Amino acid sequence: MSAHDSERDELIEQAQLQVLGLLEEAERVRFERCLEAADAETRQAVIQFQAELAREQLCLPAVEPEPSLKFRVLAEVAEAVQDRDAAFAPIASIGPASAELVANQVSDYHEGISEVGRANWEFRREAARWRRSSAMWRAASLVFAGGIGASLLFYAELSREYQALAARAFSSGVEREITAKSIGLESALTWRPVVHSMSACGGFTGAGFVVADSVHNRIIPVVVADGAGGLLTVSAVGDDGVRVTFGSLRVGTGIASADLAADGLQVRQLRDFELADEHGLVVLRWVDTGQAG
Amino acid sequence: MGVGGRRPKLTQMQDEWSLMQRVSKGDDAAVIELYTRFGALVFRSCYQTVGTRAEADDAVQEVFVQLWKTAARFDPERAKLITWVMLLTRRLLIDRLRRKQAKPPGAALVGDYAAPEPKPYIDSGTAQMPQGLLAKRLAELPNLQREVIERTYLQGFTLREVSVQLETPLGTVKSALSRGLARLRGRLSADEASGQ
Repeated sequence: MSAHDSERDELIEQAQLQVLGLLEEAERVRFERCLEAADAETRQAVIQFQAELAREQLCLPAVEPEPSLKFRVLAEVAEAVQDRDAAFAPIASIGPASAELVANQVSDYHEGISEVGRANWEFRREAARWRRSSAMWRAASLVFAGGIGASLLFYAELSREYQALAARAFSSGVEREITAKSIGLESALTWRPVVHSMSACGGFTGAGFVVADSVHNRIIPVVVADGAGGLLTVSAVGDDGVRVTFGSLRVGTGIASADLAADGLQVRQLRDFELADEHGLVVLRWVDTGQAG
Repeated sequence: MGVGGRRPKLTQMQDEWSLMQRVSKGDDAAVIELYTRFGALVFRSCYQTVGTRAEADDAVQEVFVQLWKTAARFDPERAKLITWVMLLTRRLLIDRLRRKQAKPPGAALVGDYAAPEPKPYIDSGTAQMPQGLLAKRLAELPNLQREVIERTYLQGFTLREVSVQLETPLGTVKSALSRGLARLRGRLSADEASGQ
């Protein structure tokens, strides 16, 4: 017998023990190294021999598994997959099925496969598939973040539009006759005139209007108030009858505009809108034309 | 059984590798296919070792979860899929047997051979005894070969442990195991050929 044959016989002997799980760890490692180092023909012979032995084992009993075992195996693997995905999911999952639920569903398959059991199992499998698809979660997150970004860009654009309209109002020189319509503010998507017209009071001269930005819950008065320089206090009466002061509007060159927060007040229900000077004298007042609100 | 064999077809290797890659990703269809191919064989092996249907069912589930966990490591150039599956099955079964066995005090540590008392035979309450044709063919083997096969293959003891239990040198135990297995497989193959 040549050294080659001897080596091959030894490998075959070790291969037999390995397939039957009878090699200790160190021997198993040594066997695998020897197998890797062997020539291709010997390696293939050993691999083929191991496959035959693995199929035969040692006189396995002629018993068949219950048909339901297949589904229990599938459920067990699906649960293990789900547990792994839950552990590595980038975003929290909806939640793994409770142990009780899983146990109930698996038990449906213990004695046999009922239609209800099959439906439950299919449902659970689909749910597991959804939960484990972290790619879906990532995609949903990207869409959500994209939506927020688009909204921010949209409102930034609106803000720029407002500034352009305000600049147009200042430059239009439509003194005492300005309205939201006249300078195109009514065309702004989220802005709605809530005070179409204001007239001067107490010896002052001027005019104005107010638009509401319901998205940001703010009002934007645009006024011309000759002879009423300085700060004008902006106020209105809400639906509950209480007068609310929004803030101040500085009038320097006759025409002015400002964003004033209208938190806590339904901007579409403003009435009795007033601008008063520092002494409390009303300079401009809402004119009830039946259009406001 | 001949030990010669043709080089496996590339398509079979690709097929087995592809299947295990899909299994590793938790693909239900792939797990079904794997079970369809090997479920019955794994079950018989489990049943032969643990002896009851309920325990065999549990063992089969454990085997397939372990197959899913290790599927990505399967290398068709080093072993065929059936070898991989049955090797993993045998390892899990041996682990299961060892967990179950009440070993004699001091026998657990590899290398510590001073403490354990020689054990003439395994506790029949915890060990699976061979049955049917296998028992018949085992009984025909010389005593040492029979005992070594029963203690390693059916009861999950390591060769070193068997060497200590039988107070026999490790080399002799290894030889007895190899010769016994070869003789046993020869007789079982002859039985199969004759339709027994």
